[in-house]
Amino acid sequence: MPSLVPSVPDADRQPKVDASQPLAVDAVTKRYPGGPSVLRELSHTFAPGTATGLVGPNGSGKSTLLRVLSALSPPTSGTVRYGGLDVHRQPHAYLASVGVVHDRPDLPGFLTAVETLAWIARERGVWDAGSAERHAALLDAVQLDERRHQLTRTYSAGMTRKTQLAAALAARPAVLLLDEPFRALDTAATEAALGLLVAFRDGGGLVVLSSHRADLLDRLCDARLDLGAG
Amino acid sequence: MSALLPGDQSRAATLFRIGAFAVLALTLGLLAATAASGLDGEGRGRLVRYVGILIAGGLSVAAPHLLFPDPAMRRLQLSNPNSGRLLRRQLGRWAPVVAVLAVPAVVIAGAARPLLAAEGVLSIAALGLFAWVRTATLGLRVRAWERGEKGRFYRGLTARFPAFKFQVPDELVPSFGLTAEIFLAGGALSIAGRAVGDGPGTLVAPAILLAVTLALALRSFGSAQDRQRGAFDQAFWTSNGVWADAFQPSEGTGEGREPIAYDAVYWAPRAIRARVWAGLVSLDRRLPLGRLVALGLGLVAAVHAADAGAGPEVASLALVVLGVNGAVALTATDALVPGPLALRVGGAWGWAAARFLMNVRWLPPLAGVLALLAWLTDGLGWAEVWQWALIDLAVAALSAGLVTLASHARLRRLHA
Repeated sequence: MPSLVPSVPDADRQPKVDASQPLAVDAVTKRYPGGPSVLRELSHTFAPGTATGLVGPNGSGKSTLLRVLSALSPPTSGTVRYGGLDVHRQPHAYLASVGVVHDRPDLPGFLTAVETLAWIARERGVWDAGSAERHAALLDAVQLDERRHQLTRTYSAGMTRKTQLAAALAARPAVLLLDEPFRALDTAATEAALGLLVAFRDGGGLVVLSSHRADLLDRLCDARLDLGAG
Repeated sequence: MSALLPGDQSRAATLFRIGAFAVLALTLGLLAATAASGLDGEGRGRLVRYVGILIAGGLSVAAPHLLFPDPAMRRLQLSNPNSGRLLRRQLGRWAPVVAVLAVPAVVIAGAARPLLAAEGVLSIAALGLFAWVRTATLGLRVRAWERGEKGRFYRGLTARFPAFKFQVPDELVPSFGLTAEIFLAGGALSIAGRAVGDGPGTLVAPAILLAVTLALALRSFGSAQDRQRGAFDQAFWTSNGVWADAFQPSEGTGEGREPIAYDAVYWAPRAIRARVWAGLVSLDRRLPLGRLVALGLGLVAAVHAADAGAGPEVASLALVVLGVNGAVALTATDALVPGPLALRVGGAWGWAAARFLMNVRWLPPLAGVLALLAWLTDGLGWAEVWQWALIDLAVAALSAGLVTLASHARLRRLHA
């Protein structure tokens, strides 16, 4: 079975940062216009080869932090650095190393899951001779059955989530940012997804995720970042 | 573009988008033809410049809402296009808007006045490019204000004189600056055109704005060095993030205005009141519709007060009636009313009625302005006030029906 863990392919159009670099959050404050601060002076370093679970009550800023880490939302103050990059000053260079599962899915509805993964790899310039086989293995790993050849717009919530997980890994990222990745997955699919993430982490990948499944966080995460504590 | 976002490759979606732009271009063309009927060459020149100011006013308010947040933000993150491709995507979304807005100038000028048409088209192109460059970099300016790197003068001034403070958070003040910049640029072009009068000299001012804007764009993110550095991707993601935050549904609490209270919608029948109320609250949060309606009614009043003639008067009223009642199409988007919810809550008749009532709320201000004009000026009779009120009601019903029909057909296809 092809390796699903992060690596830096040879024919990469999008230069990636050295995968051994940490993701460093430095004194980040996030406030929505006119609202109170959701994150206050948050500093934390996420190390490669680890999985960190974001915990805290609803509204404590878990999704906001993931939006900030994925360059979808700039911090009000403070910086997020990955290697030598300021994430919000060079988002394209940073995102070349990142796979994201958003809580709200947005897949290309007129492609199949197989085509979606191929599209991502080709767009990101990481398509090579082994990509098709690797993607098939990824879709096997998330237990997306023969319906992987149907359009994603026809998928159930669970199938969409499985495709999102595979899509996040399609371009062989070094960093995975996951917002409720287990939501809508059945028991077997949850176990499969968990196994995939553990393999990713053990292969040197950096995982940051939010989930309300405390039992799964216990099994996957080396550390927890409690956003409701401050 | 197709390789960038394959989800947009549905033929139906593409045809719908082309059809929508064609209908818009046709509507603006008809309005322009109505406004220009009976005008001589000088009058047409004046009208092209007035329309330029009007378009500047519209762009100044609408540009950020049209560009941000990009509806495919998450899909773009999956494919992570580089600066050049993001630039092409955004310009690809913006160019048709500018092209459609240039239609009135061509129609008003007519085939006999190519120089006037060229002035109008060049002005709209320059203004469109200027609006895009300033809007595309808005997020960077908002962020600089947020971090206290800019805006010190404003903060110092408002600390001493609180009356000067805008009713929005300080970091959103650059969006007011953007509105003013675009409107003033459009106004300056019109004034320059009027000062020159006619002849090739009328092309100078728009050509200068175009050249300056191009230089600005190249300086901001056009040079090879900037492309290497990825300057546009920073502007793109930051501006999208800033605007997504401003409309963040779950955690953003900032809102300048109080939403309409449920009880204030007492005039809607109980069976559809909740839908009307939710639609109005959502619409008001998505678009500054009140400001746009005020702008439109101001235009109607100005055109009538200036006794600009039957053509411009009818065209200005038609523009307001179509614009006000067309905005309800936003309630057919998933962002305002998710598809499955729209199908589950009531049938097509209920939604059509609810959308009709959402439209009808603008009838009193329209009728009020018209009544005032009928009372104060000779240009408008009381019969016309009634006539336009009835036209507004008819357009409100028609747009509500068409939007509901199109929306339910799409949803049944998607969620059947």
